[in-house]
Amino acid sequence: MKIANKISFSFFAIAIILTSAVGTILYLVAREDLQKSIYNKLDTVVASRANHIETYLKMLEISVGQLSKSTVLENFLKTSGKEDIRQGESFEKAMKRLARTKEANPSIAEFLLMDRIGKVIASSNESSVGIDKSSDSFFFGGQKDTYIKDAYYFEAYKEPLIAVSAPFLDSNTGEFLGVIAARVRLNDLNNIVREKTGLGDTGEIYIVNKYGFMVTHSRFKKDLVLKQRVDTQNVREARLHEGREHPLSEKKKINVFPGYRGVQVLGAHEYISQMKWAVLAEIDASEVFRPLVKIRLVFLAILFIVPLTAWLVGIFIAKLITDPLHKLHKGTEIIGSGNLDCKVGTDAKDEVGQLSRAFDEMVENLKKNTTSIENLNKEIAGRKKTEDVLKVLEKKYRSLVENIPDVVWTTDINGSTIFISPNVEKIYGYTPEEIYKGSDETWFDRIHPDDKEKVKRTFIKLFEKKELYDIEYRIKSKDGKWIWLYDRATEVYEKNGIKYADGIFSEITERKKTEEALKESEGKFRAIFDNVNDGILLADTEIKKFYTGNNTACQMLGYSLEEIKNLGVTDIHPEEDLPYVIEQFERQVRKEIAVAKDLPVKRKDGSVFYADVNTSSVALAGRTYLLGIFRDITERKKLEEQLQINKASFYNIVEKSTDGVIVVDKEGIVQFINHAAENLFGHKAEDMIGEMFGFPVVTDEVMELDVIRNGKEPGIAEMRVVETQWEDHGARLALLRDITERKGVEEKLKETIRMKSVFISTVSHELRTPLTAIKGGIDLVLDGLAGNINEEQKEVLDISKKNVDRLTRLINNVLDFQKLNSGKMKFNLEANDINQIVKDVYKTMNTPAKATGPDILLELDTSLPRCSFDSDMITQVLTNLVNNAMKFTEKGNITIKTSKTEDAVLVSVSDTGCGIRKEDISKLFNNFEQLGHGGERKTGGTGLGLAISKEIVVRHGGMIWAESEHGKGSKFTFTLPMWTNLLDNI
Amino acid sequence: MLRRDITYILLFILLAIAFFPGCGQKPQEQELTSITIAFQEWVGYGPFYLAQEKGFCKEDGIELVFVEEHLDSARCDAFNQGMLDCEAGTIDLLVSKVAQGTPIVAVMEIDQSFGSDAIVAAETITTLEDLKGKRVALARDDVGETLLSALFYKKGLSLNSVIIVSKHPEEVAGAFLNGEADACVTWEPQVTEALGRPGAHIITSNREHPGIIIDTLNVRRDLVENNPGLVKKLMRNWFRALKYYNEHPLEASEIIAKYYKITPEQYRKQVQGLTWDDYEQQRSAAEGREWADAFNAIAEVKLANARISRKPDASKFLTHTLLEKLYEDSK
Repeated sequence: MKIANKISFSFFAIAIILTSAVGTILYLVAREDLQKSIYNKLDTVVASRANHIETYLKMLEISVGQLSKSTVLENFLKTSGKEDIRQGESFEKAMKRLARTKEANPSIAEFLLMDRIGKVIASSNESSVGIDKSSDSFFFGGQKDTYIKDAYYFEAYKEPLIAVSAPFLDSNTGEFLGVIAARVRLNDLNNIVREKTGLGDTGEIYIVNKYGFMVTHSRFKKDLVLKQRVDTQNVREARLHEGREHPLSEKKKINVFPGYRGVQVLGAHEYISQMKWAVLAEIDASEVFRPLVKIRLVFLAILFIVPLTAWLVGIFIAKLITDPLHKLHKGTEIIGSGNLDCKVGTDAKDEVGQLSRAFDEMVENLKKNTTSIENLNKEIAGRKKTEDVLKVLEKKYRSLVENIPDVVWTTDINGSTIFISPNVEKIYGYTPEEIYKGSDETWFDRIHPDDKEKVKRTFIKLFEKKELYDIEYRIKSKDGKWIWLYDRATEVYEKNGIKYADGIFSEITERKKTEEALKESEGKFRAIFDNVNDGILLADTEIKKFYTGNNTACQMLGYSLEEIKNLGVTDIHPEEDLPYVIEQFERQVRKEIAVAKDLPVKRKDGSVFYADVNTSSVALAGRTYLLGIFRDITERKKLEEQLQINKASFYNIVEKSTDGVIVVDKEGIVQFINHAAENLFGHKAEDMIGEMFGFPVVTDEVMELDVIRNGKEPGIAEMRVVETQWEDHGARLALLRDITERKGVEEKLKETIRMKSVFISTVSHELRTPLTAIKGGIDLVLDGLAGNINEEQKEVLDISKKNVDRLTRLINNVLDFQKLNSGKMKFNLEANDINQIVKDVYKTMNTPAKATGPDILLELDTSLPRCSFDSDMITQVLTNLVNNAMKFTEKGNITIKTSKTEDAVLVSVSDTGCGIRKEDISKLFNNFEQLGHGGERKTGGTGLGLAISKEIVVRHGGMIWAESEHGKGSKFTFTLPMWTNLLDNI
Repeated sequence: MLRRDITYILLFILLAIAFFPGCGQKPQEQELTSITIAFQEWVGYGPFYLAQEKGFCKEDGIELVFVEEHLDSARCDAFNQGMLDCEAGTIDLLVSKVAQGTPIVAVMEIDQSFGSDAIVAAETITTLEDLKGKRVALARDDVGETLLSALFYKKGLSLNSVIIVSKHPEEVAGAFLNGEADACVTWEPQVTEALGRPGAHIITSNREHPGIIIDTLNVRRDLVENNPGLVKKLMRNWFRALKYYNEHPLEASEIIAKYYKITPEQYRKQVQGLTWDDYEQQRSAAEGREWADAFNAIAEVKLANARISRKPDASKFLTHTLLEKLYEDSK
């Protein structure tokens, strides 16, 4: 960006940022002040109206309250119920009293006087007399104190009303006589809120009831009373500010929000606690902020003018600065193009003028030095060029000699090396210097003895007959290894009377090794060729005669190799198959097929075997042969035939299976389906094979499928899936069993269990009620309330009472057991102290009345933590165990002991009673199992006590067990898990 | 070049105007749909407060407006006028309301009282039979009357054999405490309050007689029929709040307890007397006709005591269709 642009934009940007910032702050302050000022006005108005409304409601209460003191009405209420209410003078008086009071209050729609049961006995509207208003809230609410019923639409008058009611009490005794109620029109309320002083053009005040519905008229829309739900921020905040201590209470917010008409409004509110009404004052935001429109326009104008002006000033200042710089810039361009006579100096006194003059002086000095430097440069450049050419040529030659892989040599007629290239060291091990210097062993001495003579002859011929040579020989390198060299003499010449020869050699040791390996490989190949399991024959494609074959082919056919070489293709196949064999041969030659399957092959002895012949074309010595690999498939053919037989019997078994069998491939396509599966799905195999199965087939899972059996009736099939192979590919085998009948039986069983549960509950409930009555009756007779009874009668009744108690316990146990079994028993888990439970049970069982029987002893571990359990349930378990112990212990002790393990609390009840036989211990916790401790059955129990106890303990995550020695006593122990961490969190 | 500069300048000015207060559009807040719900002060309804305060309802675009309306007759008026959307209440009150023609349907169970509703009596009274001729404080047409009349009905006793001291629901315990009555039928926390009288004890509670006091969510019929989605949102948030309560009992009880002006510990203690079923349990309960059985049993008692003139048909006023839909949505 140019300096001029930078300056002008900087002026513009600073101006616009400052203008915007200042303007925004001023605007926001003005807006806030305006909003606050109008809100305060609304708040004052709405508070005043709310007071007015509360006063009005109070007045209504007072009016109705005064009417409830009316002697006329009181007298009438006292006489009501004794005669026809419409008869008599008091009725007339009451009716007149109510009518007169209504006339005096135009806003009252109707007065109703109700007796103590809510029947209207007098009214300002005679047609209301006799109506039952006992279920109306103004009757119910007005029984105790003055009550105002919230606004409601009264169908008979076709208008919304409120109702005010008050109790009518006897002026002497204070006895409740009835309720007086007034139905009140909303005119007065509408008048209170209609006054718009201080509300501007769009302001309005209205009331919203606790359900959020408008109680008074809207200024803008007709017929909204009790029809318009007002769900605005103003209403929500009014509910929060209802003046009571509420967790959501907070200060009033001054805010603009969408009003019930959908337009933005500024609102204030008051809450009338008595009615739970919100009194709302709202004014349109457009009116509130109208004065801000002018401010905004002025600001926008400033926002245009100030930055534009700043921009123009910026442009002017930039021009003053940049004009001399432009001139200087232009001068430098001319000088830069070679014209050193150009002057850029100005007369200006500022920094730019000084710079331009200094620049002119610098150019003048430059001009003087330029000529001599140019001449010197030209001479230096000429010399440098020649040296560079020489260096390049030398470098290229050196590079050539050093980098070619071959070694270049020059020797004299005596065999002394005159020159040898440095890379000889890489091959031979000796450096050129070592070779020049010579040693005890010459080059010839190090040549392999087998090659030495050949090399010597060749060397002599080179100098004598000028025959250039081209030979391969071995030589010992510096590290003692034999290396192969390919040496060529390229020129023989004479210089200063001495004969020289030039040449080049390269190392071919690796190539030689490869050639050796190749020979060895050929030998190995022949061995493999002869010994492979398949017979191989090489046949000429034109004359169809065999060129060679391997040992296996010879053995296969029963011919020697020599015999085979004299045979043709037509000699090793049965005559009747020759047309087919020849056709296959021709097609293989044309490369149409690679394999000829199942070809009959005739041995020398005339027997025939079958072979797959795999062929490929081979070119040897310019002729094309067909290489045939013969694989004897006689055994495989036998296996395949056997497989076909096995497959047929497999299909036979699967088809006759009563379970459905379906094979599905990995893509979910049906590959096989048996007859039973066809019946299950109601489709034929040909319709399903090749189609998607349509159900998820997941291995190792049992699924239930909805099926249409035989295409007619719905049913359920159970499907099990296992992995299998199908035609050499992974697949899934789905086994389907029709379980429709089994399911039906299961459903019936469930229904039977449910019915049993209902039956037991119902019967038990029904049994309990008469039992309570029987017990109550027996108690009454035993207590002597039905007259005196003698000892014999008392004894009979005691026995009856005990049996009733037992029956009640039995029913309770059956009910408990049923609840536990059906999972309906609710467990009230909370942190409890098990020792406290033991103490409570001890207190209950060890009552003073228990004078005889065993003593109950406690051994409590006081360090036990609190555990999570249902105290009632565990009390039931413990009580049951102690009861059992008491029942079977005539003398001695019963000990209740608490202790703990690492993760559980243990409670045990041991006794010194008769004990339990070993074989009976396992039956103890069975349902309805009732054993005497000696093994003999005793009456007095339900046989469910221990079963219930076990269920309760197990539901708590604990265990219960018994230990006993017959004749010595028993010990019942149960555990409760300690989940202390869990309890810490409760 | 000049043209480009002027373009930039105009762009700057327009940007400045756009950011100027009052010129740009303010983002609109999400519109919330209010649902008015009325209920009495009963600890079992606490999760509604939790759903509101934890913002679950707001996330679903609804806002619960809690309406304190103790008078059942006033609620009937509000339902008839189409002003109240739903209420939480006991199934006996549902029977009374629908028998009067109030257009409401119960869509799910809220809780089952399991020992929270009880009959508290003076020391000398130990059985239901002992109540004969005694003064019993209770709220007419309310849970107290239902529990007592159902128990009397089972025992073949008549309600006329006791002297009913009719009180507002919140004043029942007070009447017993000040000696105005010999016994009272009420619920927690008033049961605990009533037990403060020397010698007072519980002679029976619905722990021994479950299935009488079931609280249900009753919704205005036209709302269920025309806007089931809204009702489902309310139900979903109830279950979400229940789940939250079970997972964070300390935090949740602290939030809820403020509404009842009790400590969180007291709240947790009081709710031990009730059960909250999740919707899986409710689905099976509804299918098992537990609601319908309770509804029919209570209707029979009310009919026998002449509290209603005809027995309403349970199938018209109880539906678990929305529970099923809620279950399907959750899959």
